[in-house]
Amino acid sequence: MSTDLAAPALAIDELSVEYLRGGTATTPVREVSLTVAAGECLGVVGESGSGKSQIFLAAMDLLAANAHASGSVRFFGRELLAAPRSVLDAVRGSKLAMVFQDPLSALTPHLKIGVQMAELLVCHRATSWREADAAALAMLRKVGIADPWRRLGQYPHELSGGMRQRVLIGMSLLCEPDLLIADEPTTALDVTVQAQVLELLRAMRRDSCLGIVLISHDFGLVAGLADRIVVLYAGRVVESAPAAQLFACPRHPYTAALMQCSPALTGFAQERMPTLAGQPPNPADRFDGCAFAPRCSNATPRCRVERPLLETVGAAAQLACHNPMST
Amino acid sequence: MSEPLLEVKNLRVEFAAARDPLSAEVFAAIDDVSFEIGAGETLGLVGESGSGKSTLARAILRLIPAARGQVLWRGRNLLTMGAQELRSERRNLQLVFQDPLASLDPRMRIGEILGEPLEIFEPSLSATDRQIRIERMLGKVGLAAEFARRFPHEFSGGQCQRIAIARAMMPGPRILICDEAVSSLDVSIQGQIVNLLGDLQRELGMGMLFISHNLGVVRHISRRVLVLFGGSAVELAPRERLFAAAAHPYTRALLAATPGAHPQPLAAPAELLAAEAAPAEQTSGGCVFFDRCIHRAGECRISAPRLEQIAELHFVACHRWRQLPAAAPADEAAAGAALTEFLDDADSAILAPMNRRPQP
Repeated sequence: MSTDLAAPALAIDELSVEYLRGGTATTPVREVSLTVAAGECLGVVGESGSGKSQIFLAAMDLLAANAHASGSVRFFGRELLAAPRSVLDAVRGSKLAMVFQDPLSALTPHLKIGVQMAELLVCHRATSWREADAAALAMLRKVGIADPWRRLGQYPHELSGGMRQRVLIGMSLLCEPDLLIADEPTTALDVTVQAQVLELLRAMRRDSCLGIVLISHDFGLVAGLADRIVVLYAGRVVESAPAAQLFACPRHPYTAALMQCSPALTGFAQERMPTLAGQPPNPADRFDGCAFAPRCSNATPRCRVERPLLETVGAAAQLACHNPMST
Repeated sequence: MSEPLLEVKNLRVEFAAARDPLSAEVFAAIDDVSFEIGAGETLGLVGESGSGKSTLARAILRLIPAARGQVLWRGRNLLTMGAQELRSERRNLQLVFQDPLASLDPRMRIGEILGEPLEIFEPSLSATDRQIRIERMLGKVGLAAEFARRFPHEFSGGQCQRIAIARAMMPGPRILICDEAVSSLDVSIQGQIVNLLGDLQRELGMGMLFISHNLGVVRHISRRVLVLFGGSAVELAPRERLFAAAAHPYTRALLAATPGAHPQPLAAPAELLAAEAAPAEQTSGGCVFFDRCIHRAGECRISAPRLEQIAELHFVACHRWRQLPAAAPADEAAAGAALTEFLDDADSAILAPMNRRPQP
């Protein structure tokens, strides 16, 4: 149960998440395995219901009461799944931090920004309030908040959305974590503010050896930051590859289709947008074959009966498809 | 362009500025905005949150009162119309909202939701005729006729948005206003809805005001694009022109900050916008964009620029558009001839970061 610095920052092995409700089970995450190396930025891309948030909520032991997670989640070699509270307390919030989509609901409305920030250091590091306040002030400055002294004395509702998200990122970095899980950190923000938040994450990575898991539905967003990208569909990893390789040559038909659907600002503006037929699957659905087969242009009868396994292709990529796109 | 269907002239919408309810101080959420929409035309409306996009849509439909200006629908001012006349004209101007599930009554069946506009606007229609119209509309938006018996919660987000569009289309509107109608949908579903709107428009020839913060989607669907900042129109241009040769510093920042579908390092925000967003009331008298503009000069603080025409159908409200470095086209191939005149301006140093190519 000790920390192994040679191990990957996060190693998720055969993780499944199952919800039981009224006698029926839904499985939003199905046997997912992935690793994040220390200092690496992993992009996790999927549509709603693909299980992208559930994987990391399970890793942080933040699932709802009726959820059951099985498999293994190791943080620098230390098992987190079903770990005792003392182990989780030592890791969560300090070594392994998370930033959520909605910055307003992630902050306590009745506590001043300064108190919420300093509290982290007082709890995790047992520093004095005075030292913690100073660290909070320095962090606000670092995340680019103007007039940080005044902001420390304000409540969350007095800050704009972009400022709140920067405060949250600042909070998550206060204890100098090794890994930051950012779950759609910019979805609620304007594009110009989004660019600022991304720049902040990029700067934090440059300055410290911070590993980042960037969860998003938007390839364009992930493209600017991730070293490697994992694509999820119906709770399973369908493709994973180094970012440049994935964009240059997506192999899974879903990855390729999703990239095409993201409207571009360049090139010929077609009257009709490229689309992907059908609906994203429901986590309650069961599939015999490939979950993407009903929407796939490459599907053959085999795809509907035999589920493709995730296999290693080339040096650093993985793919689960019987009929991948040609290279 | 043929005779415009809808003309908005110098529209101004005010809200109380101060927390103090006795104060008469007001804040202009929409300030002197004018545009027109022709039959079969789509005008894209973009801007950040708080720029007044939704306020504008609501004021046009008179869901909130306007302080000044006119909304001319086929030459008649909607803003001064009597209640009864307005009610009957509303069938011609319909709205689709962002949240598809929240905009459908959870206790009504789809058939009832779609039938209600007909009961109001065509009360003489028989029950069977109504049923036929409902089924035909469901078919048009790509849903099965038997869905009429189901409830909204039985559908996915994309399907609910199809239903919301069908509801808006039922009275046969001539103008459809879509307020972030695809923003809450998955990427793979967005395209389906955008194409559906395009198909319906081609078939029925309605005009459309398409509000979105997603420039990529706006680029697909719009013929012209209006950029709103702080309640003022800062740029209005045909689509090709806006994406290739945006003239306003805010439009350029917006374009540069939007990630494409492919890896491309984005310009650092500091190079696009000045540091902190300042409250809108601080810029009284000057340009609305003054506090965040990286090209601002003395005159921008003193007087607000008016929209001026700088090319065919291209309007911009900026004192300094002539002094700005040449617009960086998002894509050389797409820029085309529209850009050549702009490229005469040699100094593109400031926009250089936007030009960076994808990393190998």
